[in-house]
Amino acid sequence: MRYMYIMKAQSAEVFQKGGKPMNDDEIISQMELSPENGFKLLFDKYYNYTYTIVYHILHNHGSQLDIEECVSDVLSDVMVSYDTKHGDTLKAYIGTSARRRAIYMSRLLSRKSARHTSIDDENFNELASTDNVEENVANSELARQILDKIEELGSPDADILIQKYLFDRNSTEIARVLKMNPITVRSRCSRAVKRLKAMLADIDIL
Amino acid sequence: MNENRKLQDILHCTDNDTIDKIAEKYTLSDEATSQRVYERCVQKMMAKKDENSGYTEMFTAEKYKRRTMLRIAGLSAACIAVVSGVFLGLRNVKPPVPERGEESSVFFEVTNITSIVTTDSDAVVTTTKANAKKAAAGSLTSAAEGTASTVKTSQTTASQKKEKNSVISNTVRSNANPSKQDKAADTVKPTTQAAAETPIVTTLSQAEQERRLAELDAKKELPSWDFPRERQIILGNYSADAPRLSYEEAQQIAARCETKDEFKEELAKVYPYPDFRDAASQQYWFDNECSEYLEVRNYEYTNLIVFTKRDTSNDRINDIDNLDWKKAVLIAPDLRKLEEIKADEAKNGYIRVHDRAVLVNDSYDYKPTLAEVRCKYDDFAELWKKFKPINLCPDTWTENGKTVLTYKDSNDEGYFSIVPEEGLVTYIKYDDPDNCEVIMQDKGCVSTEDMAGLKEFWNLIVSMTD
Repeated sequence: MRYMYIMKAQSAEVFQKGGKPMNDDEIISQMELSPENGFKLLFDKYYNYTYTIVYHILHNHGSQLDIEECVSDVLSDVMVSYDTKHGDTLKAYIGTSARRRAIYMSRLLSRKSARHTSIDDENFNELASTDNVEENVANSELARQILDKIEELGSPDADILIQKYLFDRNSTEIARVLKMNPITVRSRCSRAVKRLKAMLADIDIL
Repeated sequence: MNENRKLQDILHCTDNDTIDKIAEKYTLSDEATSQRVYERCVQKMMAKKDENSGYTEMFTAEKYKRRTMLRIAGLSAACIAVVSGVFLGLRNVKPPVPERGEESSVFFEVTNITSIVTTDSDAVVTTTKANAKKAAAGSLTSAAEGTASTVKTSQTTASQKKEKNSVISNTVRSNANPSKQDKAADTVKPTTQAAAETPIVTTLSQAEQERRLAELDAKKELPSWDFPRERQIILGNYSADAPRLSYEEAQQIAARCETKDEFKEELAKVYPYPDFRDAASQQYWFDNECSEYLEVRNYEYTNLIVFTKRDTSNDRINDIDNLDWKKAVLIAPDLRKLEEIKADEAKNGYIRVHDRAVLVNDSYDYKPTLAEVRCKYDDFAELWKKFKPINLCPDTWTENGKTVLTYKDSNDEGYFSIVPEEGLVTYIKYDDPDNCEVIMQDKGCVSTEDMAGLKEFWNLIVSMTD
């Protein structure tokens, strides 16, 4: 615990000097000079990024705890394994690690329910993926447009809708993240949804 | 509702660019969560560093050079020491000869099995250690000694052992005078019982151990999972018959502890190896089937709760800071449900509604409820004015024939049903056939006329105090 307190204190100093988040090069140099400090910077900058990637892969398979576990695996792996001298872009490295780790974990978690078929099976060639690629591509474009519209709602309505629809959280959880009253969240959410629906209707979505 | 679900499905199809954008612009978790993840990261980093350093050391180790002569000399010395030790020991064990004419005093003590190893596999080593000592007084001496030697040399199971000890007891009775018989019996009885109850530690061959450990590892679905008790039993460090924690014992331990940490320490002293452990919690099963267990959660936002059989990992407990851990562990066995604990938490003037997931048709699922609603009683009173009564089916009933008042809003979009009952309020919320919620009290029952879409009752306890 003492170790962690020291780390916190150091990172706080770094942020106070600059007043803004550091870029990747600065983080990498900090990782070389002082791993503890470097990791705090890395965590502060890429926690959200890692969490988002992991959540999108694992949300149908695991609990909140599994997601947190996977995020901590990814970030600790990056800190231990990333080659600060000859490594790739930090963001790309983290993104790839997060995707691979989350896919691996999703397989672990769904192993019980998964069906296995031998490659010698006659029906092997008839097995089809349940993913509809065409629909996913179309939805991806649609999602981008909807997110643009959500963004137009401004804060905190946009934050509330993102939390609700992208991260499947209820009002209590959203209130905890955004530090608001749950009742306020609920009422703002219903109003924001109405506004969003109107905006989407204007561009023939939904 | 369908539109909401559609919106949710579409947003889950985001591409990488959109994910980047979301990650940059929005806060995704609260401070407590991020701090917790951060601490986990640090722990894992340190663990990985330790693993790596251990790996390097292994490769730099020097090769061991065997010295044959030294080995032979050492073995010979060890053999001599063992043989002489056994010889001297046997000489000293010889009982004292009683003096003629002196009344023989009965003193008989059986110090029993320290460990018994029994298995059915041929790969298993079987040994028995028993020690009978201090047998005095005339004819009892030979009887006791004979029995003791039988105990010493026999290779037997625990049940056989018990029978032999009862033989010892009978021998004592038949040879001593009545008053001393009782004394002898009293002396023998507890020790023989103790012999029967002594835990049996099973030692397996290395191959068998490895096989079972591999099986145990296969059970782990996540790297952080472990089964410490089972592991120690396989390794021969812990008895398979060692007693398990019971609900009553957990209560007793909790009663004498001030804090949750203290409770955890006390528990660890008595039961050093929990049955299950992962990154978030330890479980102490009350039986081998894990039909009930005590789960001790590590994180600051959860507390100590006695859970029943089902998976509780997604249960939520609101305002956990207000929940006394001892209250959680001391609840009666028939009330081991989260909502029962929460029912005590209402504060004056407020209604608190707590959600939880429930078993529906044997499948575990989660459903949002009115849990987010948390407002003053007066606010509810205002809300109710906007609803109008509807008819309920004739078999609608509540305990003690309480009146059911049901309100429906002017747009027919949904309604509340309320059962006024002291200390408890029941609501029914019904939005549309695809999304209906029936929330009822633990005691009493409420149903609606229109049952379309109702699959199962969703339970929720709410509490209200003035």
